[in-house]
Amino acid sequence: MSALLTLTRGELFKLFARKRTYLGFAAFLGLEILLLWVLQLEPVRKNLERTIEQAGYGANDYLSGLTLALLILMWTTFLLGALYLALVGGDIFGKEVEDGTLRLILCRPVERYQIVLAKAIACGVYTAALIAFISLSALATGLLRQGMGGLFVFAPLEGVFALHDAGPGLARYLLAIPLIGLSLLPVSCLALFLSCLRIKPAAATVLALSFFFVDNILRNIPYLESLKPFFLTTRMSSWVQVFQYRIPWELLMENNLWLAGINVTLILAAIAIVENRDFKS
Amino acid sequence: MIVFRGIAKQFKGRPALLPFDLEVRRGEIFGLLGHNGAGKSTTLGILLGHVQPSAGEVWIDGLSVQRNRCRALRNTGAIFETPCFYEYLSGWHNLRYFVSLSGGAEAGRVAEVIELVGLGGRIHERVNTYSHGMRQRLALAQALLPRPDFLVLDEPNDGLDPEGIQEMRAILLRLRDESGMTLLFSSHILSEVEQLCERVAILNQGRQVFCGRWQEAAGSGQRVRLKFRNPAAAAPVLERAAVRSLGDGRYLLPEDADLAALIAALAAAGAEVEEAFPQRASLEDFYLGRIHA
Repeated sequence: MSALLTLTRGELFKLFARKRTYLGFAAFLGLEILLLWVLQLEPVRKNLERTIEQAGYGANDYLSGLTLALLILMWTTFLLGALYLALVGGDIFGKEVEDGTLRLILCRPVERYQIVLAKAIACGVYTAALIAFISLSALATGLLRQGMGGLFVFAPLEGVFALHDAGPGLARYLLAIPLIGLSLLPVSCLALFLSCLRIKPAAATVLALSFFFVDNILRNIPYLESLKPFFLTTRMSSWVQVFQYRIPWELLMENNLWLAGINVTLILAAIAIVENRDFKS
Repeated sequence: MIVFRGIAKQFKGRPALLPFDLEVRRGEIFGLLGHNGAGKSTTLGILLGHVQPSAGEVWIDGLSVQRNRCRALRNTGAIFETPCFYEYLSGWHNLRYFVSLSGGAEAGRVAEVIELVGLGGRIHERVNTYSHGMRQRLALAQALLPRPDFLVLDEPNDGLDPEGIQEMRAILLRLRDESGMTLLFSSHILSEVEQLCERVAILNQGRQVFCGRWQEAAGSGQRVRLKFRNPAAAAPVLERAAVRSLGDGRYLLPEDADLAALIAALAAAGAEVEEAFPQRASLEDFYLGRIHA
């Protein structure tokens, strides 16, 4: 147990000592500012106001910083979030093999499975840190620009249309943050698993991203509607359900258990690969 | 003591190491020799648990590396031909990280090892600013920090300048003499192995072709450098006296041969001996002799 703690501490130290780790944070901050500016453009703003008014509510009450923050979150986390998570996950093991540092670690009295577990925990911490940063910075920039107000949610693919007052809206927004983190963990776990294979770290990143993009493309093909529940990205998008008037806890629980099962399977598969792999110069 | 028993390895069905036994005794510097691809790195990889053998087992102080890698490696340090570190971290942070995986080391010990390898002035700079020689010193420091009893060195002199090689040799001898450390040393630089190791193992295409005291094995026979004005006349005399050419004007005489009598016979045959210098057995001759045998 203490070896796992030491390894995890070391992994986090190495991860957050690299400039590259912060690329995702900086990119998201830039994108959030850009999207806020786009959302303030007259035609875009008018469209949003019309959608809210068509539902019979006042645009002034619901076109708030909270609504802008959620829009940014819904548009960016899946694509850009997945990209940075796959980048870090794809590197975390494969780069150590490529650079030769893993052989030095393997000279130490630590078990191989502990090394993989420590890296999986580091991936989880990075996922949590990135999602928390994205969510809270989107909220901060949204509130600074537009101020507090009601929350307007419109996610047609997930069948969510809801309006919440400021207080409950903020509570739902904060509740969504850990759920987004959990929904994106499979990206990190798949990238970690692929990085344990005998392939380049960049290939692991590209393969992981390709898998999720293909899954998402297939999910959105109308003819495959009946297969929708079987796509991973369907499960990953379930966090939006937290904005329904009545939160479907059972559905959220089911989807998150499903995702947890995938994460555990990927980590166990990564351990099995690393335990049986030869590491030579 | 390090013991290899029946160690063999195949990669995708192709034999990389044929079964062999090997023992490295406590307190000795043991040399592992062989051409590129002979199986040296695979052997060391198996010893360190990086490579799973297809057959056999390795024990370090009675603990099987294959069955109990963590405990077996508790007192083992290693450095490799290309010293690899986290380039974006300082030498200091690299050392702290690697030693933490062995249970950590007190600040005094870290300072002592940094002093020993001569990295004092640059230890807080990032590794990406280090020369190859400095990286190799850092590699040695990370291996020595947990106070290992065994040190595995895979081509540690590769890329070092002559001064660096000399310093590395001095440090290794000091480690053996002062700390009683056991060193398993693989190198292409035979002159270096010759100065450090009494016992060696030679691998050739995955097969162990020699293991033991090379000077004893090479000792049967006298080595002499001969130069003739008329080599054609010398040839039958040398053949009659069972003298074997080692190439480059060097010859191996039978152990009981009389060098003066041979020179007299060569002179009588008209070979006209210009030079005759007795020579010491070299590891290079021994190694090449075994490889080409």
